[in-house]
Formats: sequence, structure tokens, C-alpha cells
Amino acid sequence: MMVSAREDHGTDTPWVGRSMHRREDPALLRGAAHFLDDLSLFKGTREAAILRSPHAHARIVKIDVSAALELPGVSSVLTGQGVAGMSNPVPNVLRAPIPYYPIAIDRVRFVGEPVAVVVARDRYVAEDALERIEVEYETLRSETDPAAAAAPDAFVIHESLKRNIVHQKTFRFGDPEAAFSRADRIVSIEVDYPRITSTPLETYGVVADYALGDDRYTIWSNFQGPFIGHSIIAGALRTPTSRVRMISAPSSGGSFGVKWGVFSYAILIALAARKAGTPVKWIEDRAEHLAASSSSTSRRSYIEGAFSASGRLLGLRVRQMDNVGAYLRPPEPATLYRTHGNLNGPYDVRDIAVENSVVLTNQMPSGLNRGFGGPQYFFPLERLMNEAARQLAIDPYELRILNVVSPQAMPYVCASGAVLDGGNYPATLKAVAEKFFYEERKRERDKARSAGDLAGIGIALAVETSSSSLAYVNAALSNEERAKTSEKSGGHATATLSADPAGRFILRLATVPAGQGHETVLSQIVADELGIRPEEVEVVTSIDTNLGDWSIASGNYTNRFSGADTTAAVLAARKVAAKFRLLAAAALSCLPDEIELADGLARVKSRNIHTSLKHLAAWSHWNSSNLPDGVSGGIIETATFTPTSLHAPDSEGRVQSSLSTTLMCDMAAVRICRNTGRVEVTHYAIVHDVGRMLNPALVEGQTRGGFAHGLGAALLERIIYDGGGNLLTGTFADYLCPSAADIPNITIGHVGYPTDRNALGARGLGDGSSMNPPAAITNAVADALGLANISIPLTPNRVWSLINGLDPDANLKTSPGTLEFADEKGPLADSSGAQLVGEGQSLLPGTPEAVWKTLFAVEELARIIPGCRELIEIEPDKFKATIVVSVAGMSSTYAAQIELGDKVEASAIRISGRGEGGLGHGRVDAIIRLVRESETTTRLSYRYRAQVGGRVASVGHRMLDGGVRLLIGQFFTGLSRHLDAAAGNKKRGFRAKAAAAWRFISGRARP
Amino acid sequence: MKPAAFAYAAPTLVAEVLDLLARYGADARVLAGGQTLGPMLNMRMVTPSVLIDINRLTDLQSIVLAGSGAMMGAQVRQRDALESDIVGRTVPLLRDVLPYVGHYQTRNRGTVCGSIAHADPTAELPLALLTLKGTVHLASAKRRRQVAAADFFLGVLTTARQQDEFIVAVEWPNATPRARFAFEEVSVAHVAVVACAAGAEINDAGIVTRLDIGLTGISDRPLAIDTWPYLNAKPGPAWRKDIAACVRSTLPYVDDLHASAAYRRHVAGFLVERCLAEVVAMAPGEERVVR
Repeated sequence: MMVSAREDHGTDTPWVGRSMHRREDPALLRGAAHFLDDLSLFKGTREAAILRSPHAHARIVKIDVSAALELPGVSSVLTGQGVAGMSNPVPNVLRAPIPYYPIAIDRVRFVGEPVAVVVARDRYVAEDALERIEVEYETLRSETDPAAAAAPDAFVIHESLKRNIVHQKTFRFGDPEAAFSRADRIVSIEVDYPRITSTPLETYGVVADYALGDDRYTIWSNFQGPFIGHSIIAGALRTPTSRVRMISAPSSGGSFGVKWGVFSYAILIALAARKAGTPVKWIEDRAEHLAASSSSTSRRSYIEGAFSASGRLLGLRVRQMDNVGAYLRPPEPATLYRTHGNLNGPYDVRDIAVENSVVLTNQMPSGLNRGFGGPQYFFPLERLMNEAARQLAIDPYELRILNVVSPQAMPYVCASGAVLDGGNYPATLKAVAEKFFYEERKRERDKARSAGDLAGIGIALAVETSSSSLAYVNAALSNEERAKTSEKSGGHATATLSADPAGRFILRLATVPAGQGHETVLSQIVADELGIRPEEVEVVTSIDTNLGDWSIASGNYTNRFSGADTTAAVLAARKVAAKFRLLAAAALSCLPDEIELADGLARVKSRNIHTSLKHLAAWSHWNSSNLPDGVSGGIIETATFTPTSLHAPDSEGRVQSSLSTTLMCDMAAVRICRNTGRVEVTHYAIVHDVGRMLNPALVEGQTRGGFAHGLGAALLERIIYDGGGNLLTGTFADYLCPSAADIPNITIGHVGYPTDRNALGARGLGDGSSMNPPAAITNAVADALGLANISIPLTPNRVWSLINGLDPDANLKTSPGTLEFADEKGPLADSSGAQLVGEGQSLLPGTPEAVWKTLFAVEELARIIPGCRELIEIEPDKFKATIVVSVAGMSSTYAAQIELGDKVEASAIRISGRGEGGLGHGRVDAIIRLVRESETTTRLSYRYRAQVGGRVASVGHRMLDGGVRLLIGQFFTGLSRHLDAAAGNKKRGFRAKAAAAWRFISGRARP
Repeated sequence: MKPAAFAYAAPTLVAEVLDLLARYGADARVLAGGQTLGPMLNMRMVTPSVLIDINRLTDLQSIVLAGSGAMMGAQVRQRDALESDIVGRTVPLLRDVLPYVGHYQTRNRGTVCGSIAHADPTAELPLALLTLKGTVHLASAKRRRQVAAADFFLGVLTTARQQDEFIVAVEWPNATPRARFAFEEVSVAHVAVVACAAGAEINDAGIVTRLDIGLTGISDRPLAIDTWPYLNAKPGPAWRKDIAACVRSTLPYVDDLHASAAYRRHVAGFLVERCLAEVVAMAPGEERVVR
């Protein structure tokens, strides 16, 4: 369990290593913590709402904001043109000519991209005003499939580029060709890792103020760092860095990397404040977050392993392509390079070739998400190991034992530059097998199989890199490009510890925790160094860039807290301790080395004399002219931990990408229901080598939280765009996250081989436990099904499809080909991205000629089309209409264009229409055929394809099909009623029968 | 995510609710538990001019045993229904189904009638009402009427309720002493992909004398099948397979982003077989079928 009592072990036992209660929790649990949205910062703050693109790709023809500005309470509206006038585009790592602004300038390139920012009295008025902004779009082709976008003949998303592939680089370490020629067996696997997002509880938030007189910005936000973002923001705002003051809120409700993306909105809202002339607050809502914050990249990997007959991994060849979305936003292509130094993972393999590429698509830009690059890399690598074990008929556990780096080889310099800095990998792997009861689980699996059940076991290993180097992204650059840019390396951390005149301590450390418990751990650390109690240490972790004690690398990411930040705290505490020793030595007439700090005292044990730290602190503050020689007044010590091993990439592209590494070993057992495809994780064990545990309760919390994220990725989560570029996972009803009730219990074990790369021996662990579950669970499912080609998420539908040899994503795909009646050709124009198809029939009163006349008489049609307010023939067979579409109580006005074609008098016609309105946009293509059924009746058959986008698609996809059928039902009921009246048919029975017939027929499943 | 402006009314009498509905019709929305309406308002998927909050009514909070069934007023929370002795005794299927409705937290607030009114095509309560042949009690300023569940659910979020009508209560028929029920669901993150409810009566001779089967999640509304061809039979594996085949071939199935129509078709049959095995196993004199 997470909770364990705060036990007083006496001063002999260090505070570090105890499962202390988190000091953050009382406020969090009582709702008393201060998140950004809780703060009252500036008088006169107004609120912003953002108009976002309903299209995946469109040219902005015109934006008319006049009606929005007329609304009482609205201060201003900022559009792309305004932003371009006041700011610079954000540069990207590759210096590719892809101007990125936090808002669309003249084109939108993904659904959810900001188009305008309204500043108003409050958010309600601001959202009212959004509806009054008129944007004229010229929709363009869009591409959300990375493979298609990468094709040589694909259209280009940015006109400044020649193609959508913006990065391509190959690396060669050792002699991969020789390794592959030596191989007894070459095993290969191709896998896709989908786009996911880490869904923190608290969404983005920014409060910005602009001081006109001195051109100065103050920006409060829940930006998490790294504070390289501060330079990016100041650069975009065309303002010296010292005049852009960024302050982080005291509490943050989760980040997982996602909140790096706040930087983009910090720029946008700062500009909105400048334009409005008032402070502006913007709190992102969940729909905005799911559409346009930041997602992981999706990756397609083709990976080959050269194996000896005995199972030794001799070489690796990797081809991987990341989909970064519509813009190359910094720090991309970092997702590809986070693991670059450690392409071998935990294995001893030195001959490696890798080809990296990055493609742009019409999806939201990617960025940091928990694991950042780790899941995308270790998923294919561990799937490969699994497949190799199967093909070589070696137990997958034994195959890994055979190949992991041996303890004698530590520290192990990887072929691509990372250093595995210690630990005992075989022992860690053995530990997880013991925790998992691997042999027993195998017996259970085999027994279940012999009873006809689907059961499987999966293993996954990953190396978690902690405290990233600033330099690793530069491995993406060529040597020439790197020569042109200023060299980057390192990743230091700074802490300041002071003692106030009363002898209480304040530690200030430039990190931005998002619920991890940094304050608790830091108080434990300082208490140990000074021989005091943790409660005597106040910890301030929020960042204020005007206070100066931060740097480029500051922030909360890549597990740098346990690896780097804690060491800065140790160093600062040691400086304070040294000062206390000097003061105490003077007070007690002894040498500083004789002083021991314990129990709040500075004492000389041998002579049984002491003085208190309180007394010494008071002396340093109150009586500073009387201090020992060389001792300055007050106690304020700043220390910086500067890891020197984090060098720049070398000419071969080798880079030590992180300060320390953590091995993680997971084992999973699953049962699968053959009929429903449901995967039940029956057993799951995790053993990590986190080195020295600073606070075991927090280690457990991180492990369980990371597992939940990993389980979600394995079984449920995926951001889905349809072929037309519409986002379908716009709410939590469709972006499926596991809830607490869905998380199986797990067994956690630890082995602790402390690292020597920092002061306390702790390795990172925040990302890690999210990396393995997708691979471990997929390997277990592959084992159960005997299949190699499996992609995630392993939803019931997808697993059942795999079991039955069907396409697991058939439900998301456009039916290819043309829309036609079996006996009559009639392809529909441009059916790309269509998502709803249907057909039906209706028995109508009147002859085909009469029905035909009614269908195409403008005034009559206007009366039949449900909700039609206006229908104007603009040229023969082309109409303009205003239609209030009302389905299921949701109504919205649409401006529509309707076109008729392929007319065969009284027999067949094609109707194409498109419309745009408040809830989204849509187009429908239908073909209709009339056949005489009897003297007085006509059978009307129709087939349609409909494509729906915008808000209605992203929040209600699962109901669209039914909604479209309801609308068509309304139309034919109206038509039937009208024809009835026209025919003077008083027999109401017919109408009822026709309607019933329609209901019956339309209820049929589509083919 | 803030709603458009609306007028807010919080009447204390049902008559006031009906007056408001008569006046505003389609422009009004009734707020009960708000677990779905709240988000829809916030996303501006619905923009009523008047919101009629019925939480201050005093006379629709109870579950009462009427002659033929349990009457559940418009304010009865899903949690109250779950914990109700009356429901436990007289509507066992509802007791089985309620734990699948939403989440623990949403059941504290969400109402039974609200879920019926909303008619989400994956919702469990409309399925239960349809399977049990329950009745929706509607009232307007002009009249009162009762609509059988089979005639009530018309399509996606669409029911037979007229714009001026208010669901005063739903009526759940009493289970007979011989009736047995089962409920099965396949869901993803608590959203039903396919759910099946079944009820049956089997006489001492082991003959099925009554059979009700409903499915939801498969299409635009909950759907029941005609079961008369399967009555007066001894329930065995072949009988179950026949019914599953009927469910697969006669009902409509749709694709959406969570599952394919083919998946829904297969699972519907599978869940029907399981439900039938359960109800048969619970019948006196039958061996329990264990999967």
C-alpha cells in the first residue's frame, strides 16, 4: 500500500528512504491547494475563449469578427493576422521552413487549431462571441495517414516544403552488415504505435498581463519546463527575456510532459492581453485539451534482429517514422532521439543501423507525453524479442537473460553513446520472474490452453533514461548543421537553501512538480544533511523567472528530479552545513571538522559540548559584523549540480542522452475471451532498479500511476482521426481511459543498485512504468493467439477481429470503391473520408413522374426538406439553402449548397450537398432511383455516403449513423406526406404504412 | 465549455413543469440529474432557452409498488433504485443492470427517468425497460398518457415524448415468482458496446412459457426480438443457438469507432446464449451451466 506511517526511527536512520506521508496531501485532499485557476492575480482580468478550426486543412478566406465585437462584454478579438503582426514564428529544432505560430495565420492544418481569441468579461460571454465570428474557409485536401502523407506523390501540407517528410537521417554503429551476414536467423517485425495522450486532470491554463509602458509581460501558467521554453516564448514575443516574467502556479494537477505544450498558449494569451489592454486568463477545457494540446507521436517501426541459432542478438536494423502532426513544434523530432543513445535497450548488441524519418500530417502537433519516445521504441524492440523467441523456440525469458548486458560489463557504453551506468540486469530479470512466479504462471497457461482457453504470458524490458541531456536532440542534425548552430550539452540543476533568523529553513528549487511529492522528498534530504527534522524545512518549488535561480534545463521532465534536482539540494545543504560548522567551530572553540550536525545541534561529540543551529542562524543574521573570518552574514547558499558527462553528440551521432538509466522488467499473464475478445490481465509483476529509493511510498505511487497509463495504452487509448481528418476522440466517451476500477492489482518489487552519477544514488522512475505494459501485454496476447502481427490498443473489438482473421480497424475505414446500385453504375464524386454509408427504400404515393416533379420543384422541395428555411436556385440544378437541422433535440442552422446531377428523367438522380453550421460541417452524396411499383405508387431506392466533421463528429461519432438515418427518415416522411396531399390522398393509412415501411427498411444493417 | 444563456426555472409543482413545457416546448429542457444534460449544455450541443430544474419537486422522489409494478418517479436517483428493497424484490433485472449504469459517482445524481428520456443508444436502463415491457408515464398540460417501452424508443436520443410532455414516472412490471433474469454486457471504459438482457419463465415440466430478450449498443436504440417461435420448448443448447442465430440475422448492427458491425453481431449472439444459459440454470430442476 501507498500509505505507511511516519515512523520515527530516531536520528540514526536517515529520513531519506522512509515512506513519509506527503506534505502536499493535506491541502490536495481538502481541496485547499492553489492551482492556476484558483488564483486571483490581477485586478480587471478578463477571460479568453478560442475559436478553433473545424477543418483538417483549409485556407482561411475571410474572418469577420464585427458581430463578435458588438456583443456587450467583449473587449477584443485576436486573429492570426494580429498575431503575425506582433510576434515571430517559433523556430524548430531542424530549422525547417515551417513557420509555427500558436494560431493559424492563413491556413488551418488540423482540427482544433486556434483561429481567433476572444477576450471578454467572462468565459460565457467569450464563448457566445465565438459563435458570432464568421470564418469563410476554402477546404483543402487533408491527410491524416502518415504512410500516405510520406508517399512521394502526396500533396504537401506546408507550401514551403517539397514533401511532408521533414527529417530523414541514417546512423550506423559498429558493423551491422557483418552482423546480419553472420546471423543464423533474421527476425523482423513491423509495428505501429498509435497516438495517445496522457490526460492530466488539470488542463492547460495561462494568465497573462502586458505592461504597455515598459513593454513587459508577466505570464502565470502551469507550464512545466524545461525552461528553454522561456527563451522560445520571449523570442516569439519579440521581447528581451528579462522582460518576460514567467511564474508557475503553486500546485499543478498532473503534467506527464503534456504541459510543455503550454508554451504555445503562453505566447497566444500574452498577445491577447497585449491586444486587449487588460490581463487575460485562459483555462483550457477538456474538449480543447483532447483536440489541440499535445499528443504523442504515432510511429511506424520496421525492426530486424540478427540472431545466432543459440539466440544471441548480433545486430539490429531499425527503420522508424514518427508522425509529428501539422507542425514540427519544438522539441520535435525529440521523440525519435530521446532513446537514440540507447538503441540497444538493455541488450548487449553493438552492430546497429537505424533510419529515422519524420512526417507531417493534418493532426495536432505532437510533444511530450509520459515515456516520451520510450514506449514508441521499446514496443517494437520487445515485440521483436518476443517474436525471435517464438521463431527460435527459446523461452522468451531465457532469450532475454542471454542477451542483457552483464553486470561485469557495467558501466556499459552503448554503441550509440548512452552509458548504462550500473545495476545487475540478469538479477533484476530474475527478480521479476520470482515475483511473477513465472514457472507456475506457465503451467497455468498451458493447463488453460489444453482446456481450449486463450491464455498467454508476455515479458517486456525497457531502459528508462533519466535527467536528459540538452544535447540529444542535436543528434538529429548533420555535422554541418551542428557546426552552424551553437553547441549544446549538459543539463544542470540549481537549489538555494537558506536559514532564517529563527533557524527555520527554506529550500528553493527550480522545479515544477505536478503532484509527484517533490517537497516531501526535498525536506527529507535537507533534514539528513543538516541533522534536523523534515518539518523544519519549507520547500518552494515553483519557478519565477525573475528570481533568477533557474536555467534552461529547469523544470519537471525526464525524471530529472530524483537524478539531478535532488543532488542540487544535497549540494546546497552541504554548503549550509559547512557554514554552520564554521560558525559552531568559532562558538565552541574547536575545528570545523570536529563538528557533527544532529538533532538540530552542532556538537562536538568527544567533548560533550554543543550549540544549536537556531542560535548559529540568529548569530549570522543579527550580529554579522562579529562573524568568524571569511564567513558572510546570513545563511543563504546556492549550489548547482553540473553533470559533465552529458556531452554533445559526436560526429558519428553518438550521444549520451541521459545522466542515469533505470532497468524495468515487467511480466504479464492474460486470458482472452474467444467470443468477446476481452483481454483480462490476470497477473502483472514489475521489478525496477530505481537505485536508492528516496521515499518508497512515492516510488510505489509512481509505479502504479505509470502502470495505469501503460495499461490504458495497451488496452484502450488511441487518438482517432477519420479519413477526412476529423477528430473522432473529442471527449472521454470516445478517448477511452481506464478508470481506477479497471486497473488490475499488480505486484511490485525492487532491486536497488545505486547509481554513482548523483549524490544520493537514486535513479529516475517517473516515466518508466508507463513504457512496458503495452509491450508486455501485447506479447502476452501474441503468445495467447499465436500471432505476430498485433497492434494496440487491444480493445475487445480489435482482439476479436484478430482472432477471426479480420481487419481490426475495419470499422474506421472508408468503404472503398464507388457508390452504385448493383445494376446501375453511378460512382459518387470524391468519396474520400466518407464515414457513413447507407441505403434504403420508401414506398411513395403517386407515379414516378409525379414523385420526380415534386422532388425537383423548388418550392415544394423547400417544404419537404426538414428544417428548410430557405432554398434558392442559383443556377440550373444548383441551390443555396438555409436549413435548421434538428436531430435528437440538438439543432443548429446550416448554410448548405446542393447540386443535382446525372439526371435520368423520372428514373434516377444524384444529389450532392454540403453544409456548414454551428455544430460542424457535413457533406452528403446520394443517388436516388424511382421505379413504378403499381398504378399509384412508386418505389424510391436510395444510397448515400455522408461525411460529418467538426464538433458533432468529435463528440458524437457513435451516434452519427443513427442521426443521419433519422434525418433521412424525416425527409421521406415529409415527402410522403406531401405526395399524399398532392394526390389528394385522404387515406391516412397509406402514409402511416409508408412511414412504417421506411422504418423497417432503414433499420436494416448496411452491407 | 460554457453553456449558452438560458432562463432557469425551478418549479416545486409538477403542474408548473407542465405549464413551462406547454409554453416553451422544444426550447425547454428538463434538468433532473444532469449527468448527460450538463455536458451537452456545456458543449452547446443543446441550447435551450429555458432550463426546468425538477430537483425541487417533492412528489416524484419515491418508488412505490403499484398494482402491476414498481412506479419510479422522475426524481428517483439511480443509486436509490439500486438500493431499493422494492426493486430488489420485484424488479430483479433492474437490480442486476443498475451497477453497469454510468459510474458509482454518476449514479448518485443521475435519475432513472432521465436515462429513459435521454435514450442513449448504448444505455442499459432503456434496454431493461424494453425487455421487461415497462411503461413510460407521460404528462402534459393537456393530457396524461402511457407509452409502452417498445413504442417509446425511436432512434438516437429520440423518443415518442412530445415536446410538451414530461416523463412523470416509469413503471417496471413485477416479476412473477417463476421469472428468471440475466444481464450481460461487453463494454470499453464503461461504454457498452453490446448489452443483452433476458427474462424467462420455465414451468415444472421444464418448458419455456415466457421469454423476453433485448439488446442495446448494437444500433440506434434498444431492440427486442420476437420470441414466440421459441416458446413451449425445452431449453437446450440447440434452442439457445437458434435464438442467437435469430438475433444475429434479424437485428441491425452498426459500425462506430469502438466496434464493427460484424463484432456486434457476433457478440450479440454470444451474450444472448450466455443470458439464456443463466436464466435456464436458475430455473428449478436445471443443472447450472458454468462457463
